[in-house]
Formats: sequence, structure tokens, C-alpha cells
Amino acid sequence: MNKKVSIFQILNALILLFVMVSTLYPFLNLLAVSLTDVEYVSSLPGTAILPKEPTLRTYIALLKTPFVRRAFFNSVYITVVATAINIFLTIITAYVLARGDFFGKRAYTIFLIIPMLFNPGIIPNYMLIKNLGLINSYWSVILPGAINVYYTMLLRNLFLGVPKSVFEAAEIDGAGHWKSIWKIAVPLAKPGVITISLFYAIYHWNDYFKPMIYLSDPNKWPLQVLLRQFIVSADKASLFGPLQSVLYSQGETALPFRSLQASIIIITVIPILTLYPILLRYFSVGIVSGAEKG
Amino acid sequence: MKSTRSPGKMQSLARRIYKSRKYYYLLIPATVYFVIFHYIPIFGVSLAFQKYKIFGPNEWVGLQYFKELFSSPTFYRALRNTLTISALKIIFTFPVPVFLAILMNEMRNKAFAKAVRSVVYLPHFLSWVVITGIFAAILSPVNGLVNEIIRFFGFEPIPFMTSSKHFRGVLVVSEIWRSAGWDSILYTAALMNIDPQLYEAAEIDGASKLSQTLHITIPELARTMITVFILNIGFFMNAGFDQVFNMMNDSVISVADIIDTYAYRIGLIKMNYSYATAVGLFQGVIGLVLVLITNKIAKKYETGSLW
Repeated sequence: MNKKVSIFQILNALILLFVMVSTLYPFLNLLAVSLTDVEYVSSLPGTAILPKEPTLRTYIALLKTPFVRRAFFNSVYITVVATAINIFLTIITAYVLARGDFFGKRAYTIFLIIPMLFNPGIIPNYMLIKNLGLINSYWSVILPGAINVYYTMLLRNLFLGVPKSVFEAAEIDGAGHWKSIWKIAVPLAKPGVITISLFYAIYHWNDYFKPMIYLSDPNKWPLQVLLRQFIVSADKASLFGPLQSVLYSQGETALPFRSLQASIIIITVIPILTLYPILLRYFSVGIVSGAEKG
Repeated sequence: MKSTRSPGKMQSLARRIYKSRKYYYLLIPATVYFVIFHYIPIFGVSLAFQKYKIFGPNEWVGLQYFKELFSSPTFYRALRNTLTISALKIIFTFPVPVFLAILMNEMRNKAFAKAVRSVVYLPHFLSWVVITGIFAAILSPVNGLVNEIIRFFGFEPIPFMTSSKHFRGVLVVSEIWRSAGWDSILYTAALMNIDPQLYEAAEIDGASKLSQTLHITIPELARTMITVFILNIGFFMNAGFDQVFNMMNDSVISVADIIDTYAYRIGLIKMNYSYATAVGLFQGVIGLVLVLITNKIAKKYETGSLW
């Protein structure tokens, strides 16, 4: 029996190793492509994970283009502002749903859930933004996702895990809701609050659709929309106008499309990779599956 | 609620509302947000019954756009593609997270299991724009990783992304690549909840590892699996807009165009707002019915539902 188990363990390790490699390999390959000198990139095999004649030339070319730097700024700006609004609204709403015993609570919960069940589609949302006069404003991207019901319910569950007596003791000491929220509920549910904030931030960083349809001025585009231009364009000729200049930023000969694609993917992914370890630190299986309270 | 209320009851209700007024104040921002950004668009679907006018009020046309819709072969193609892609995704992606969770759970070397976990959750946090870029790179017929392996074994390279024969396979595989790790979380949580005594008892009875998995682990996971499966059916009309929209190209449109991408094209590219709203409403209503039914069923299993 013992021998059987160890065969299973070896097989299991091999399968999991395969899963890990197939997840990471594409990144390593793109990193190698992006770092390979543009002279050699056309001959670099798809299996490569080491760059040939490593250089940062493509990155420098991209970062030297004002349009790209702007897109980076736009992404950061949208993510920071939108996440701040998200987390504020989510915390106060989750607090009320966890603590409040008020008339109409059940009705209010249904009011929150109905939009999760019925999706009116692209056009009614587009018409709303248009009628509000928000087309081409950053708000068109920030406001429509101001609060997520699912995350609000997760946080409510975490707040429910805070013992009632803690809140009551604070109330006796004269703490109002405001103090209860920021001095008790939030600190005691800190891992959950951080996890949910990161979920929101990653969502905004990754959003390409709202910016694509609402922001008509390319100077307001975030990185994802810019990246999409590189991904959907089959070749250099079909690349969006202002991006054409990137190609020739290093002189007479155009930078290889493959290098640019790889580099801009890496640039777009780096912030996620930076936040990811923090997410792993605070995140626990229980927070997401709703099993954990407090 | 009773229709006859004594003045005393009304008064106590008024007092109750007054007492919790601060809770209501705190709900004002979220309420304003939901009314504007969710309820106005819900009522906005009335555009499906109106002819959109740039100037002046829209004209009511009843079911005209639905009649157009149900006589459009492109719409039926989009409907067929939506159902096919959803079905393929559920059949092929559904079991993967279950196996992954079991394998990670069975891993004796806990440090290794933890490393696997921290790697496989990652793709869930990438946008479909990025994943499309990654898949386009590794599937490229010129210098993609996969085609280099294919060539190594002496076969002809396959233009996966532009071949209508292979494109749906790409959708399924990329979906697995992105979600299998993250989706395994629910099963990992379920596995953590299994009473270890069950295994100890089985060990004493001399049950092998395999039979322990078959007779303890799988049945314990079954409830979670049933719930996840049912909830997936609830989203059947949603074949994954972001994925298909980014990966699709002209050469695969016949097998890839789903209802969402169709509505996008009609509405925002061809600016036929009313018709596109009708498409969205059709999808929304079926989606609503499916979610309501499947949630009712999921509640019966008491393992959890959307609410």
C-alpha cells in the first residue's frame, strides 16, 4: 500500500508541476521576447525563456512615447480614484447591512440584488452615460462600477463576524456609526477589506471595455485599450495612428511588432504582479467562499 | 403587510424609522448609485420598443424590432454560437477545478502545494486583453510555442486563432487556463471542511487512498459540484463577452459571434440602438429566467445560492 501511495504522490507532483509550468511558461517566453534585441527577435523560437542579447530597447522606445506614458498615468489615475470610491461605498453599505436593524432592510437587500439578476445589455448603459453627458469623461469609466454587490455581501459577512459586544461597548463610550465603522469594523476585518480593495483595483486596472466605448479622446485611454490596439491589429499598417510613431522611435527601421506586443503586455501586467503577493498574503480561501466570518 | 394599521402601530413604525435614521443616511450614496447606474438602464430597455431619434422624442413601434430579430439569420447564428460555446465550456471546464483541488489537497509536500496554489490563481487576475495577447503569441503559426512543438513532431503548424475549426477549442482551453485555478477555491474550501475522522476510520478499515478518494472525498465534494453546476447553467446565455470579443477575428466570426458581440456590433458600430437593445433584452430576460430557476434548484441543495 505504501508503494502505491508514493506512485500516486510522484504522479501528482508531475501533474501539478505541469500545471505550474503551463501557467508560467507563456510569461517567461513573453519576457524573453520583450528583452531580446530587436535584431534577433525574428529568429527567437517560441520555446525560448532566455532572451538573446538582452536589452531594454523596446521598453525604452515605448516609455519614450508620450502617448504610452499618458496611458500608464490614465490607468493609475482611474484605478486609484475608482478604488477609493469603491471601498468607501462598500464599507459603509456593508456596515449598515451587517449592523443595522431597520425598517425595510429585506426590501433594500432585494433592491441591491435585482441588478445582479437582470442585465439590460450594452445599449441602455451606453445611453445613460450619453444622456448624463459623461462621454469622454473619466467619470464614465469610474462611476458605473462604483460598488459591487457581491463584494458588499462578502464584507457584510465579515462585519457580522465582529462580536456585537465590541460595537455595543464602543457605543456606550459614545462612539457613533462613523467611529464604529473606521475604528472597529474596518480594523477587525482588515484582511477582508484589503482583499476586496485589491479585487476592485485589479478590476479597474483590467477594464478595457468602458474606456474603449466611452473615452473618445485617445489621450484618455488607459493601458488596456492601448494594448488592445497592439493585440487586435494584425500588423504595423493597421496600427492606430498615434501608435505608429512608437514603431519608428528608434530610428529608420521599424521596431518588430512581436517585440512591441510582448513589451506592452509585460508593462500592463507588472502592476498586477506587484499587487498579487499582497493579495496572497491577506487573502484566504474562507474570505472568498464566504465560509469565514471575521 | 397588513393593510389595516392602527395609529399606534404607525407611530411605532415612525419611531423605529426615526431611531434608525442614521443607517438610512449611510445608505444614501449606494442608493443613488443603484438608481442611476442600474435602475435607469433597466428601464432603458424600453428603447427596444421605440424607434431611436436623434432629435425629438422616440417613436413607439411595438414589437417591430423583435420581429426583425426573429427573422434575422445572423441573430440565430449568434444564438446557436452562444449555446454551443456555453455548453462546450461547461462540459470541458467544469471538472478541471475539481481535480485540481483534489490533487493540491493530496499533495504531501505542503510547501509545494502552496507554491502551486499561488501560481494557479494568478491568471484569474489578468484581463482578457492580456490573455488574448498571450494566447496569440503561444499559438502563433510562425513562432508560437505550441506550433513549434507540433512542428517538432513533424506535423503542419495550425493557425489556431484564425481557424474556424479550432477557434472554439481555443476558447475552452484559454478559459481553463484562466479560471481553473481560481475556481478550485470553492472545492478547496469544501475539502477543508471534511471531517478528518472519516479518513482515519477508513484507514483503520484498510481502505486504499483511491477508495478513500472515491468514497469520501468525491461524495463530500458532490454537493459543491452540483451547486456550481446549477449556477453555471444560470449563466448559460452568457458565453463570455470579454473573452470572445477580444479573441474573435473576421476569419472565425461564423463560429465565434455570440449574442453579446452581435449586440455590440449592431449597437455601437452600426449605431442601430433600438435593434441592439432588443437583442440585449431578449438575452437579459432569458438570463433572468434561467438564474431564477437555477437558484431555486440550488437552494434545495442548501449548499448556497446567489443570495
